Formats: sequence, C-alpha cells, structure tokens
Amino acid sequence: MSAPLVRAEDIVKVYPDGTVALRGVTLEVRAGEVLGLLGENGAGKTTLMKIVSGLLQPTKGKLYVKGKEVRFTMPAQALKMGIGMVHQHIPLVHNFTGLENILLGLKGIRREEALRKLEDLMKQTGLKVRLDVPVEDLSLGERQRIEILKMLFRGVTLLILDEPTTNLTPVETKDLFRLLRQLASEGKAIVFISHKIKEVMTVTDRVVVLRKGKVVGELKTKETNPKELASLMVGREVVFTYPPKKPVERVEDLLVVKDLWVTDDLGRQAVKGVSFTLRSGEILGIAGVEGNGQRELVEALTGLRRVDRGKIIFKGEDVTNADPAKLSFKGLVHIPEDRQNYGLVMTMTVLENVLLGLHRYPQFLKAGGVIDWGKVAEHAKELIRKFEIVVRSLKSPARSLSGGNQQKLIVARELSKKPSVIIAANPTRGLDVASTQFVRNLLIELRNKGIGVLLVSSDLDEVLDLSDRVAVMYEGRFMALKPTEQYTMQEIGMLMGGVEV
Amino acid sequence: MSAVIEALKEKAEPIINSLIALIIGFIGGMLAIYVSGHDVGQAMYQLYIHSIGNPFENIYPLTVTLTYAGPLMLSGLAFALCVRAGLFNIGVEGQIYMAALGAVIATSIVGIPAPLHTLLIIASAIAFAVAWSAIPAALKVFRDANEVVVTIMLNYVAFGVVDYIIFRYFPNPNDATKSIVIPPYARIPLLVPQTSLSWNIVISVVVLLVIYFLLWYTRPGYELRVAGTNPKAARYAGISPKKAMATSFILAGLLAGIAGLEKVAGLPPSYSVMSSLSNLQGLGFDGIAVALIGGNHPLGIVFAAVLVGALHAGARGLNLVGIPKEIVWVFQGIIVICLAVPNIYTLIKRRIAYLRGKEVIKE
Repeated sequence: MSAPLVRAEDIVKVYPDGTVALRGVTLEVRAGEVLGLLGENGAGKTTLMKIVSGLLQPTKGKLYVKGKEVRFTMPAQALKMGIGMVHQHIPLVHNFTGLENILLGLKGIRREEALRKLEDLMKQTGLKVRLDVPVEDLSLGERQRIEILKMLFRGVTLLILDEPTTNLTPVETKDLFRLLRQLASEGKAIVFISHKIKEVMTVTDRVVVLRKGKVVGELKTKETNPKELASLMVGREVVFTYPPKKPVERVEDLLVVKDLWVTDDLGRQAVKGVSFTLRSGEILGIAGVEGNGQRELVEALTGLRRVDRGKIIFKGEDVTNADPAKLSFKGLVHIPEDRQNYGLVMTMTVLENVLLGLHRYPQFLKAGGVIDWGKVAEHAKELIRKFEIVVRSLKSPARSLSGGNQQKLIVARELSKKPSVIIAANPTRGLDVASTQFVRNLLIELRNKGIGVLLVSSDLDEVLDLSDRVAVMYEGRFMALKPTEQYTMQEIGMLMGGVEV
Repeated sequence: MSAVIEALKEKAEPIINSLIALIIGFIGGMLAIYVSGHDVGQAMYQLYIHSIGNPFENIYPLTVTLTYAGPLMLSGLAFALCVRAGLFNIGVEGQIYMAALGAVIATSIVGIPAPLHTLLIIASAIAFAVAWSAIPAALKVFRDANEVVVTIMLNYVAFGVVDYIIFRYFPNPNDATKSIVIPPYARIPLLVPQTSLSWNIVISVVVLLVIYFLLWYTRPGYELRVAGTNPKAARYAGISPKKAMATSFILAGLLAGIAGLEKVAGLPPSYSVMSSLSNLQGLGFDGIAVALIGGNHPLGIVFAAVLVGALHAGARGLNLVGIPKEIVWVFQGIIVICLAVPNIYTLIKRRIAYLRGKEVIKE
C-alpha cells in the first residue's frame, strides 16, 4: 500500500497553561476515505487537527504528508500542501461577500475567472451558496458551505471538518453528508470531527476514537456499532437512564406567556409572538437550531431583556419586564446558558458566588446591610455536601472549578432559592457524562416535585428525553407545541428546518 | 491543610506581582542613576536616610514619609474603589482641586462660631469634590460617556477654574504665593509635635478600614464588586451595574474630598492653597500608582502609600547631593509599567506549568 496522505506520529501537545491535550497520538488519513474522529469534549480531537492543519505546533511528534516529514508554523503552509480545516466557528469577514471571502488572500486571480471556476465547482459538487451576498446575511449553514467551497477552491486534498453539524438543520446535515461521500469518492480525504455517534456511523468509513488525549480505538465503521463506539468514547457503557416521571396531583398554570415579541442586540425581531403556558410538574422543552430566538426568549422571561410587546404572567401576577432579582425572589430562577459570564463571577470565590442573587435574602444579612459571611459559609457547605460539588476550599475562585462543578454550583444555588419555575438554557452543554446525567436527573426529580421546568436546549436528544411537551422554535416562532410522544423524528427535523408539517 | 496553602497561594499572587514590580522598579531606577553619572550607593543612601533612617534615634524622616502617605492612601483608594466597580476614574486629581476650592470658599466666610465654621469647611470641601465627581458619574450612567476621557478633561477644567477663583477672589493679603489660610481652629492637629505629621495619617487609615469593611462585609460593597468584575452576572443577580458605578464615583469624590482637606487643613506650614495649586498637584495621579502597587486592595494601599510616600520623602535628600530628585519618578514609573503589564508572576507561573507538563509526558 502506498504511503498515507497524512500521518501524524506520536503527537504530544502541552498547552502553555500546562494542560496536556495530547499524550502521544498516532493517526493516518488515506486518500478517498472519510475518517471519523470521535471523542468527548476535551478528548483532544480539535487540538490534533489544528496541529495537522498547521494552526498549532506539536510539543513533540512528527507529521508526514505523502511520506515526507513536514513542519508547519502556520496554516498557510498546510494549505499549500493541500490540508484545509473548516472550524467550528467559521472565520469569515462578515461584511464581505462569499466571493470576496473566498478570494481573500489569493493573489493573481481575476474575479470573473474565479467566479467561473467556482460555479463549475458548485455544479460539480452540488454545493449551493450565494456568492454575492455579505456573509453576515447568510445562515450559519451557508457560511459553512462557503468555507468548504473556499477550501475546495484552494485545491485541498484533505478536508478537516470540526463538529460541522452543530449549527445545521437535519436537511442541511443530510446534504453535507452527501457532499462528503462524493468528495471521498473523488479521491479526497475527509476528517470528520464529532462527538455524535449516529453521525459518525452514517458518514464515515473508519473511526478513530480519542479519549483524554490518547487513541483508544481504531475501527472500520462497518465492523462496529454505536454501543461499542459509545463505550470506547467515555470509557464505559453510557446509556442515559432517567428516574421515572410521576404524574403530578395538583396541576396549575405557573407561567403564562402571551404573544411575546422581543428584539435582539442588533435591533432585529428575534422573538415573534410566542405564546405558551408552563404548568406545574412538567418539563416543557424548546427545541430548535441555535440562533432562532431561544436566547432572546429566555432573556425576556428572566428579566434580562426588555419585552417589546406581549405579557408574561407568573403565578397570576404580571411580571413583564420585572427585574431578575424580583423574579427569583418570587420563585422563578434561571440556569443560564453562558454560565461563565452570567451564572458566576469567575474570579470571585466560591463563597462569594454562593451569595450571588441571594445577597438580598434577609437570612444572609445582619443589621445595616452587613453580610453574615458565617451564614453564607454554612449555606455553601450544605450545597457542596448535597450536590457533591468538588471544591478545594470556599476561598478558591470559581474558575478553579471544573465545568461540571461550576454548573452544579449554579444549579445548587438557584434551587436553594426554592423556585416554582426553573428556566434552564442548555444546562448540560460542555459537561462530562456524569455531570450531564446528574443535571438531567435533577430536572426530572424537580418536575416530579411539582416544579415547572422550561428546558431550552439545542441538544435534541436532551429535549426529547426529558420533556413532557416540546415546542420547536424557528425564526422567532413556535412551529409546533405538543406532547413529546406525538412527534416523529422526521417531523421535528423538518420543523427545526422551518418546514411546516 | 493543603486547602489552606492553596488559598494562601491565591491570595499571595497579587502580592508577589507587586513585589516583582518593585524589584524591577528599583533596579531600573538605580540603573537610571548610574547611567546619568551619579553615585548609585550615595543616592540609595540618601533615599533611605531621608525616608526612614533610624527611627529610634530620629523619627523625623519617617514622619515625612507618613506625611506624604496620608493623602496618598485616600487618592489611591479613590481610584481603586472605582476599579473595583469597573471604572477607570482618572478624575481624582481634579476632585482634590475642587475640595481645596470648597475649603477655601468656606474659610472666607466670617462671623460664625469656630466649631460651626470648622464643620462648614469640612462639608464644603467634601461637597465640592463629590459634586465634581458627580459630573462624570452622570455622563457615564445616563449617556454612557467614556469616563477616562471625561475625567481627564475635567481635571484640566478643574485646574483652571480652581486656580482662577482662588487667586482672583481669595488671595492671601500678606503672601501673594498662597490663598487665604485655614483658621487655626479648623486645622487637623499635629500628631507628632515639631514635625509635619498630623492626624492625617490616622484619618486616612481609619477611612481605609471603613472602605475595606464596606467592600467585603456589606451588601452594597458586594454588589459594587460583582458589578465591577462582571456586569453580566450582576444583571443576572438583579444588581444594577449603573448604580454600582454611580456609587463608586460618589464615594471616590468623598475620598478625594477628604484627601484635599488633608492637604490644605492638615499640612503645616502653609494651611492654604499655594499658587498654581503646587501643593495639590500630582496627588490624584500618584494615587493611581499607589492603587496599582497596592493591588487595588485597601490593605495593600496602606503599604503602597507608605512606599510611594517614602520615595517622595527620600527624593528631598537627592537634591542635597546634587542628584535631580525627579529620578524617583523613574522608580515609580517603572514599577507602574511593570504592574500595567498584567501579571508578570502569572506569566512566569504559566511557563513553569508548561515545562512541568512536558515532564509529565516524558515519564
């Protein structure tokens, strides 16, 4: 057999802060295959591919392209050798058109000639993008296609895609997969980085599984199955099991939202007339591809963003545009999506973070607005014990906690406010398996206790597994709202993509 | 036990940062003395004997240091407090001028009983400074004006206004170089007789402790720190970042007011404002250095103010041996630059962690 297209040999990567991302990884990519690179968050997938594409330099190890050793110090060199990477966050110039973005950095090419070549390329691959529109006006999926086109235009032979389906609708995902298969059949090599087993099973020929910076498995896709991949990926068999959902005795309407309209930061209408009722003892899930108004909806409900029109009624009281402190005092708490910016003050201590939002509760105050730090410490210790939060000391800064423990700290603190409604936005994003299971179980237990949970998540499995009812949000509207079991997967997929069913 | 050590380590980091900066600053300063052709040993000796000396034999040098340190603590604290609320308030300098103007105007009023007059002078000084600080506060809160630009400009305005009003309307009839003099009953008494050290230093330390308590042990202080560190988290927790900013501006004005008062009513022999505001100039700016060296922490500021005070006190000695005293600005300047480069210590620590990480791999 001829030399592989790219061979990474015994790659070690230590980040400047001392994090060891890769501990000696060897990997080969051959022409004409789609290689899946599977692993959890922090397994080292992206780091490895950033090294292959010249964005990072390995601490140790060698890189061969077509049998020759290479040493990249910048992505342009890798690109010259035919290696291109499509990143998760696509680095395009927002106010440039697709064409301008594709030509950026290329010299000696005439516009018309480039346009003709690009059109040929599009015809040949079936990639469809609008080249004459500023990128900022395009959907994330279209931006990704521009980036892929850009790579193909530069003649890459190895195309690396980092979690490419994150922002895609199911239809777009399907199209992408078709494209990848076609490119492979033309002799190009594809590396598909993902943590989604189903997708890896669908599109790849071969899978390399990474765990904690090491290769733990290398398999032919045909000869493996999702269960095997899952257990390799997390080091044990992972099947989420949830506590049973119990019917709740006395059902009341906790949160009633009527015809809500909200604008986003850029003044665009992000939420367009959303109405729903959240009852006690249910989990109402809001599914949808990110960026369809979910964030603005959550912010409006939790008092962080002004409501233009419509009403929010919480336990019979009009709380439209009420401030967050008042809401949480009344029993509506928020587990924010961006926990490092909203949920915690990273540089402040664990103790100080426990007080966040509880700082107006009289039990933590002495006369004259003096904080009773002793009481706060007692409370913090109780939360840490009850939720098994791993902290070095109450005086450690919040940033010293792992992601899972940060989230536990937030959840514990919010629940100690004795809420009747919890609004949880992507509550398990970026968490490891154990923490994910913990948070999800907790949401179900709370539901069983009669609390109303609004679960906004871009993780479709999460929404479907946990929710009693599901709304699908698309471009600021609810496409549908009904009991979870009344949906089919295909239907949800279409609704997420804006197709009326 | 290890938790305690870890906690100490985290606490020690800013202190280590400041120490490294001090060492580099002193090396740089000595280098500057050497390069400019002076005797480094002699210079350092002069700096030392005029700022500390042997306090058991002669306490005078130390009292000079502490005399400088008193108002510096307050101007440093005024700046640090705003940093804690997320603001870069350069306006303390101007607020101090305004405090002096307030004191002088109140002094000019005659025919009221001494205790009342004293109170009026104090209140007027503080009110003027707070009012001046309220301008950038309002512009920031209501119009989101950049506080750096506004306060810098207001400093110039304050200088012109104060200098003009004082020497146009309240000049000293017996001495053209200064304003009317604060009456003896309204002066801050001396702490050590025969020196310039007044109760200023005690007042400053007490105010520092009060602000320390406010920041770390009360709800408003907590809200201010949360808002300054992370405005998003503040909003999430129902804290208004704007209110916190306004509070910090007003408190800074208050501190500047006391600092100005200390300068005009607590510093012999002038007890007045000198022409061109020469006895006030630089106090607000030096406060920025003090705040940086003190890690924007009230307790750190005590030490930082004493250190900068010592540099100023020692500088007088340099003149005696023919070395320009301005050389101490080199010390102070380099220290500040080192601190402005964020966290030298963190950089070193990261480097060490990186090398350690490499070793892990070798095993």
